[in-house]
Amino acid sequence: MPRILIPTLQAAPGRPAGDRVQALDGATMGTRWSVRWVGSARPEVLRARIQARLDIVVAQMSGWEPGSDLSRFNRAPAGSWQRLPAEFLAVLDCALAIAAETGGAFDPSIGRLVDLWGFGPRPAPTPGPPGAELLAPARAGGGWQRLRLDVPGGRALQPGGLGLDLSGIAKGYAVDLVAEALATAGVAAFLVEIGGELRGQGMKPDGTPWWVALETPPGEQPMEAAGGEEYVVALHGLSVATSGDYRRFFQHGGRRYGHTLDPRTGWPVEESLASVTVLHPNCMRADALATALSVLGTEAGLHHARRHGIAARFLTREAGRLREHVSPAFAAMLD
Amino acid sequence: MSEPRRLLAALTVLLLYLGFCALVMLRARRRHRRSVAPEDAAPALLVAHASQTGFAEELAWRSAELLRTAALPVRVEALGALSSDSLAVAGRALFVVSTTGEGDAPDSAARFLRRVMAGTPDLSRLGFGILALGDRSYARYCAFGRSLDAWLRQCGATPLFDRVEVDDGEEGALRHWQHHLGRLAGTTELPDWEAPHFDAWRLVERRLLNPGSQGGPAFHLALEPIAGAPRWCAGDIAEIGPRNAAEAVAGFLHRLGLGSAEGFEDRLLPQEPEAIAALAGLPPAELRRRLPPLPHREYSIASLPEDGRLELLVRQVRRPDGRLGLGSGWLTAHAPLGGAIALRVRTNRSFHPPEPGRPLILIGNGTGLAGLRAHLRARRAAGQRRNWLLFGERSRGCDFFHRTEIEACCAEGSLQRLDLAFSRDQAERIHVQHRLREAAEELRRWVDEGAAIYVCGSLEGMAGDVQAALADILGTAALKALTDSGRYRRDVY
Repeated sequence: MPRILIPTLQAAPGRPAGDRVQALDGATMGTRWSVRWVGSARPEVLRARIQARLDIVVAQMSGWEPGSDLSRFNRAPAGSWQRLPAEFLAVLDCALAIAAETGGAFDPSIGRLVDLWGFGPRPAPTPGPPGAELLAPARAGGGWQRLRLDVPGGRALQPGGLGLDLSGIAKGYAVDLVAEALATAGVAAFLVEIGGELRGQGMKPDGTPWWVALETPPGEQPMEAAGGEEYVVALHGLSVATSGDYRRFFQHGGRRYGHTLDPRTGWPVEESLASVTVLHPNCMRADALATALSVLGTEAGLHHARRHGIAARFLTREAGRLREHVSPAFAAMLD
Repeated sequence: MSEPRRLLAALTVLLLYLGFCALVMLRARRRHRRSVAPEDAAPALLVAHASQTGFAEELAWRSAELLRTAALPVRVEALGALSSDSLAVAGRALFVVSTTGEGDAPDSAARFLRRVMAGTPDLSRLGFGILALGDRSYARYCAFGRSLDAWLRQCGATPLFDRVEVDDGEEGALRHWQHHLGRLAGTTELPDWEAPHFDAWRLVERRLLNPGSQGGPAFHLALEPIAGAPRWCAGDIAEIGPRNAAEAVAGFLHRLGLGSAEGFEDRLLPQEPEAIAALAGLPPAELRRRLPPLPHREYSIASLPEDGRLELLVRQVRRPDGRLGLGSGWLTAHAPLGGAIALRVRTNRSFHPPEPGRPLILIGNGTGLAGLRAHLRARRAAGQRRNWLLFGERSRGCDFFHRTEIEACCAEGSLQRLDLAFSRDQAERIHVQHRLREAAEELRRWVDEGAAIYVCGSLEGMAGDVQAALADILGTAALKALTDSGRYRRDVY
């Protein structure tokens, strides 16, 4: 029997405005997006609004687009204040807040490290792990404390050689933007998904919320957790983001490494964690927190989640089996 | 000269110089004291305010602070607290008064209007200055300030300077007022009166509340402070510094043959071809200097600091030429989610909560629900359950803003009575004033129990008709008594 998660509600969801669920999907940011909604809003109108929001994120924050604001910032000369669009600043502002909260376990300034490891747009300069002579300057070029933001003034300081990488947060923000596009179009009930990050609002015509199953990494041994069943979450006013490296990893020296870098060491996180799932009203925050917690690891991550009231679930590999740990805020949603 | 003698000579010169300096300073101080002394004997300069939304009161306090920096004794009073006698002996008085959109005196001045301005006391020993606040887009611009001016002259008072009229917080006129204050204080070196300082907030939520409505789209907006934890009270007002849409700036610059340039997002961009043509050929920096800054916009706050966010209920306005309204367009359409919003909270004392223990009747329509919602939240938080809401909009299906929340308040008992007036749901147009008349008996009962009546919403139609209904139900005299004692308050726009 699935275990059920219910968000603690500020207000009960309103009755659905229509009687059918419609759906749209497409490609963006190297992955797929999908939207389901209740009501009579016309798909072609919504598609245009959704696409406009997705285009904003790609045009501003993509490291794969040489013309993006992010690429421009990364190329800018040392000591120059760069004007950045408000959306970009909003993401950077949130990223810096989480970097400060997590002691740098999440860091938006790891662009050069990402390039060095070949996890980003550019191929790695060397096969296998980069040597210390390459890692040291790449680490010195990063460091979230070196970034200066002037949010009211709409600009950020390039301290010199700092490479931004927003791949751990921009997808979540895109989900938030699409959700806002739907909400301002008057859609009261919807479910948005981009590459596994989700945000839901309202209820379906049958009066049920958007139930979403939390994914378990495929190809693993069955879970040793209590019950061992899958979770389903009622996504009303709630987002869910998962950080998991089971899709992409490499072996080195008999160890398994994922594609998540630990900004504090410059090395990928060792693969003992199978995945971290975070529930939060705001998908941008959920996305970045999931990354940060997976870098912190089970023990420090759980401690951080407890201290900050974050609803998180950790799946670890212990003796070849999956084991689950949940934070108090996550447990509070179970009933 | 030997070395010790030379030193002694130098020391003597130094001592003489210091003595001279001390003398000069002493003289200067004595002269200064002499010029101030007669002022000390006279009563403190009176700054009186009559405020509808708190702006006049704030300006009165700012004026007083400014005069105090010049060591002038000043006292600040509400106009409603003054009598003929106190005015007759005040010596010099400054009046900062607003006028409602209907051209009336603010509610807080009603007592003064009736008790003091009804007579013709001898004010021949009074010197006065008036700062009249108004909005030129209303027919009877600054009407109360003007009638106060005429009455003071009629009573023999002497104007210290010509009345200063301010259209919608216009900076130039305020600087003019400041100039007069400087003259009064005997100095031109008063610190400059800054343009309102806005804080940066973050737009975190935006949701259309009335899809399918026949009325203009109304949005629920939530903002979080980027720094600090600002405090405010139910009834306070959010002043927004709007920005132009990026496309509007780009279009304007393009029409002048300019590429992209910075610094135009907060400037008033002319629309008329002639006005734009007159700016042709200017370099961007000079162009920016010539354009006035965008005026601010005001919205009733719909939440409490305890909610962790500042919420607004904003109707998207569309101007005749199809462009969105300056403030509403920025908030509901142009400002990006997560982007920074320039905002400052203004205390609006005249719409603050009644004292605990008093029943509260909240009456409003449309986006006026914002201010009422903050009050309802404050009452719930304080455990005050004797609350009655009368709310009017177009249709129940589309325009029942915050319906689940309001219904939850009814269910839990923090809203003991709810009357809804949806004007388009039946053949005849039913508004809150009709619901009010239907409930006349209960209204009288609540008022007998000491209830306060708070009205928030549109001036046109609602505010006047509600007032007429209240006067019919309670009697004109009783309504006046409620106004004077602060039990009938309005935040209407």
